Amino acid sequence: MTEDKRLKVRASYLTKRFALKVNNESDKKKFFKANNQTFDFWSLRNVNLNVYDGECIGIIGLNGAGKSTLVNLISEIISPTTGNLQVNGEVSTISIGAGLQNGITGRENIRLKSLMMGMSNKEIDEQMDEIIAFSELGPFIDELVKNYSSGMKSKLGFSIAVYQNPDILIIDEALSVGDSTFAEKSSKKMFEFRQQRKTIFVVSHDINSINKWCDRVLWLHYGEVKELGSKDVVLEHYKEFINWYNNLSAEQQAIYKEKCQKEQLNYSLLNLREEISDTIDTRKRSASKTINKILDVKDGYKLSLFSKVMLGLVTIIIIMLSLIATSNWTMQEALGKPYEFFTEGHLFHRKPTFERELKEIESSESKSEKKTSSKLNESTQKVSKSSVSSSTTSHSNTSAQATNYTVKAGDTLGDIAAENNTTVQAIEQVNPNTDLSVISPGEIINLPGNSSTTEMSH
Amino acid sequence: MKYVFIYFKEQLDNLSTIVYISKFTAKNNYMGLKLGKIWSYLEPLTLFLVFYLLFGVLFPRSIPGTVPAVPWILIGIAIWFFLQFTVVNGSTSIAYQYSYFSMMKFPMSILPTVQMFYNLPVLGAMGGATIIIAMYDGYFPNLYWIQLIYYAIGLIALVLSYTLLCSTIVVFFRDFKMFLTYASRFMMYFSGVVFDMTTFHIIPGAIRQAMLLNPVYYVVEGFRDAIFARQWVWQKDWSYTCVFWGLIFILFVVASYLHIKYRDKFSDYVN
Repeated sequence: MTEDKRLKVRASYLTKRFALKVNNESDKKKFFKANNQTFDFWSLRNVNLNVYDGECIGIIGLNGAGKSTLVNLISEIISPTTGNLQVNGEVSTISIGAGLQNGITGRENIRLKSLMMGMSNKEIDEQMDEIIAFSELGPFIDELVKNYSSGMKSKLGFSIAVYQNPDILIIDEALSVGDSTFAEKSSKKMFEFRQQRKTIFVVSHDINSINKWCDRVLWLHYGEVKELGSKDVVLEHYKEFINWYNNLSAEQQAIYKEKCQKEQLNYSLLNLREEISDTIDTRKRSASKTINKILDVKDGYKLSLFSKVMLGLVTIIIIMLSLIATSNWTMQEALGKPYEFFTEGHLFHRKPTFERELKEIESSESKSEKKTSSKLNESTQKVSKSSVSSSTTSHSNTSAQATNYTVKAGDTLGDIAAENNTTVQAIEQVNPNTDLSVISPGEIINLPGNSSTTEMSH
Repeated sequence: MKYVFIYFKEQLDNLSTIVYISKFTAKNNYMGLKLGKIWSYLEPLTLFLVFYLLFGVLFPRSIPGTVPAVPWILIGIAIWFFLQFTVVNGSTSIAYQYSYFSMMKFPMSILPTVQMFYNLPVLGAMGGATIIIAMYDGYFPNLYWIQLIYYAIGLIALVLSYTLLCSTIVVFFRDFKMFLTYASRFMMYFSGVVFDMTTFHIIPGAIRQAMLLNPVYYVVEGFRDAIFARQWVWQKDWSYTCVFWGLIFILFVVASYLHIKYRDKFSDYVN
């Protein structure tokens, strides 16, 4: 390759397979069934293509020949099934109305599309007026795009794409909509591009416009490259084919179409292997290796070992911490004595510190108290309230030594014990009938009687 | 891990695009409506009124501690709506919007982020309302409010990673969206949004503790800790914090890996 002919797009052994459903089976069935009933449709079969800068390639073919598939592959919207596709440079695609958002105005679409192409807001501001002027939309630029005619959409799409300064421009049947004056203008712009040594792909059914713009033409025929060469030769052959086809009777046309489509359905990787082995030197020992390499489509996305180890580690940590969170030990305790943590039955027990209490609204009572002691804070209110209740029940207490304590909000057994100079065990001893693992505010428990200075005195 | 970095790089590179798309998403969603985007504020507000009547007035015992009911419920609803709308709408963002954006080379991973940005103003407005009401109730700005930044980052990380994962799944399995919708309605009551299940003594203590492991619970309670100056994040049981960030880590690694691995194949499944 010489320097002035830089490779822009290189496709080798490119195929694209679509899996079509046999009948209207729902996605649900497809999801659960292992061997779902689909058949393969080879939209592209063994396409080889080298495109250099400054070239304009016309892509022609009947409907369903795979033109759009090829263009989508080049713009990296879809990925090839097999083969290698190399695209050097930014690609910008124009097709009728595509990429235009209906719900917003033309001006907003310009900004959106430009942003998505990686331009900054400042650059867009600078270019905005130029783009609007080129699009010839005038006052309609601030209308919603859904109200645009197809010609206006196509003009807008072309204007935006042209000002993206792409390396590769793809025009997918977009220019057939615009009127001849706009077509003239856009063809001028395209020649400008070619002088800047940019690559242009034109997909069109219009032989005249292809003839005007392109130097090479790719003729796709039911997924295969029928011919690739200079425009005069290919277009001549294409015209001949069209004439021949049009002269067939309707029945013959149908038979021909069916035959071609069958080829597309019956194609398989085996055919591709044969085709490849035709093109390379099979006498060489490394031939089969090369073929396998071409056909081998691995996806390059794998989790690294480090990531897998990290994932595993974090999962184990989460499980461990979840167990700790649901046990009655704190993290420090459990991590300090992991063996005891699992063997001594601490799992799935409430922590002594875990107590979340409900809001106490004994409606009118507390409200009236609030009024009388508005300066007091909430906790003292509770003490005064509970002291009333404790005094009423103190007579029923059998233990002469013990005193009562009404559990306050946020109290734990440990707190109570510390406050009253006793131990948790001692409290448990004098409360044989109460389950102290669940204490709630307002509950009255007995305390060992040595403490005389509880806050309960009233 | 590599994919997580790729994902974040794509988000940062396309930040201006994300903000711009999120702006016109509102326009698209409320096209032809006179009130327009105000509706996205009215919906959480009506739900707030319903739950305030239920749990603030009729059954007031279900709100723990001494915290006033109105801001307590309001902040819960604000976070929940942010989460639910982002996850449910974001999960379909790739599957539904693919055709709009497919005509150019453009990282699909930013579509869930667009949904997040779209819902952010509602969260901000409702969070601001909560703070004003809390101040009326006597909770004035204090150092604890710094924690709001920490919990907001946690919430956004949770939402982004989870939505990215869901959006990738929905491309291949559309029914997952319906599952998400119903699950989110159900999960609302287990996430401490409108009432605090962990205060119900009917439920065994171990289960009540386990509920706090729910990452949504962590965030919702965190916001309340900050606003009502209850506690610092390091005063919490550390295991909850570690589990929360551990889950976020796993979600990010798995989601970004799956997304990047399968995004070449999206076009075969989206039509």
